[in-house]
Amino acid sequence: MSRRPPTKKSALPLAPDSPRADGDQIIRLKQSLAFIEAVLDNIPNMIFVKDAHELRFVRFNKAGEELLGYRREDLIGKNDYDFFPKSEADFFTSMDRDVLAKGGVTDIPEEPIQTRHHGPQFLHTKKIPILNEDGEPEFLLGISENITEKKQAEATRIRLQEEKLARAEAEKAVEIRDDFIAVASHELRTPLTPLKLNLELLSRRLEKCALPEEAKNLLRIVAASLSQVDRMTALVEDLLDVSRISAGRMHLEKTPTNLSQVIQTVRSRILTELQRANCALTLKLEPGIIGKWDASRIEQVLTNLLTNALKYGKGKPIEIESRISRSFSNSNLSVCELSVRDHGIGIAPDDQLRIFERFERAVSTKMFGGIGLGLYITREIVTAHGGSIRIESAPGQGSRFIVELPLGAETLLEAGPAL
Amino acid sequence: MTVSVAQGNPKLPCVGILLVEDDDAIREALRYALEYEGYDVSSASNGQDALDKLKTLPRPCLVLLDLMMPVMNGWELAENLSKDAVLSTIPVVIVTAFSEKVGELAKTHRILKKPMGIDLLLSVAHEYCGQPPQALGKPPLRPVEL
Repeated sequence: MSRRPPTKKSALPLAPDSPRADGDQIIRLKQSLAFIEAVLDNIPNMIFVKDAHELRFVRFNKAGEELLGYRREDLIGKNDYDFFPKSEADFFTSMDRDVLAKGGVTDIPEEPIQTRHHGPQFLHTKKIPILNEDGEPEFLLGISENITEKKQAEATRIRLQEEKLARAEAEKAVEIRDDFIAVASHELRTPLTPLKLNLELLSRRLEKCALPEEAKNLLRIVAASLSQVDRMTALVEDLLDVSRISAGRMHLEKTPTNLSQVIQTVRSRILTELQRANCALTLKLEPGIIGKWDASRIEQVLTNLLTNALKYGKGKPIEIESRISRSFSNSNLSVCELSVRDHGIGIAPDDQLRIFERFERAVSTKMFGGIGLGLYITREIVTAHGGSIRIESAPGQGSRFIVELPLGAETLLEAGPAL
Repeated sequence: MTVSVAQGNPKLPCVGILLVEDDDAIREALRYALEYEGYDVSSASNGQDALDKLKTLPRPCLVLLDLMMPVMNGWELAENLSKDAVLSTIPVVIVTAFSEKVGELAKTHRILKKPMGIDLLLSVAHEYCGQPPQALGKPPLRPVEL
């Protein structure tokens, strides 16, 4: 420590111990030092002074004590190697030497530091050499602001901003997908509308005329065209349903639905095709099963199952059965069971799971048309209702598709005659 | 599908059907189908056009309303009609290719989903307009350009 009078020096850490000072001067000096000490201790930044030679601490304020977790009595006279891991101490020491060699203020925007009680912290530090009369560095002044919280806040802000951005992007993607489905449905159905209406009108008008043989042939061509329009319409609807399912946008409008009514609706709609395929349809319905289901979707399930039964069991009878039953997977649970039984080609065990996947079919497209979406959509609709579907089948033995639909609290068993 | 009863009062004196549809091919196909059955059909190519025509036309028995149209779309026309004391009494059936975007209208209006069959179209026409004035089987009143 220097013995020179403090007035001539800028060195703050000096004690007022000049032998030439008189009593009053000493008191005044002590007072002014106490004042400076109080100011330093109340500054929230860590302020420390090291001697320029051995880089030992000679001053340390309260904020520094709190940050590092050491009392100044433990710090004074020690250097960085006494408190920090060697790699950190090496870093601080070489930094300090650089500052002293360079002269002037050195700004370190961010430095990590290991503290005793607060774990790793980050400091923004300014280091300034304090020179003696000869212009040689005598002390090193350090002022450190703890920027850990600021840094964490900034990191949080960036993370939140990134999350917000990601969320907005995800929402945008969903919106684009929804728009695509809406636009695609609209645009694909639009040209089918006049096509269907015009062909139906043509067929309707022609049927009412007494036609020569040639015109009757033309009428058959119109009918064939119409069935292709219906086939196209079904494909469009299936593809749109797949888009809805993959976008998680299959919306169910659940209302109290009478299962027998659904079955009758589908039966009357599919009657012509039943006759064309020469399939006799037998209904075995438990009366008055009413569940909270989406009626049009349940109609779609049954239509798909019946269409398959017709396709793979031409000329053979088909049975539809509905009943309240114990669930296949949980015998304590009562469920509504709807099954469609055909006596067609049947399905090999290996194919029985696969056919519920998209674009999967059990048999070659050469034999039977279709792009393999019907059962996938069927399963998705049933699952969306909280139900399940399974197959009982063997090659050459026909197939029975069994749909289980939940009988929720809203489900009623209505007494009355079968529909 | 469950449909709600169309709003309006079909018992008031009325004439024919107003088609509001921007797609020429669809509008003509609808007109063709209805006129062949003997219904009196007027058409408008958007909501504004329909509002203008409703000022001069005799009260139609039914408005068949598309939704996606330029100038004034079907949602806007339906709202405009519902605000008018006289026009709100005309039954409106929505004819749309949308399934997801119909929105609130689905709760108050009957919906015909495109592409619909001619039987359904004619049964709706019959329900609101009764038996057509002309004998069945006549050719359309004017040639239709498709």
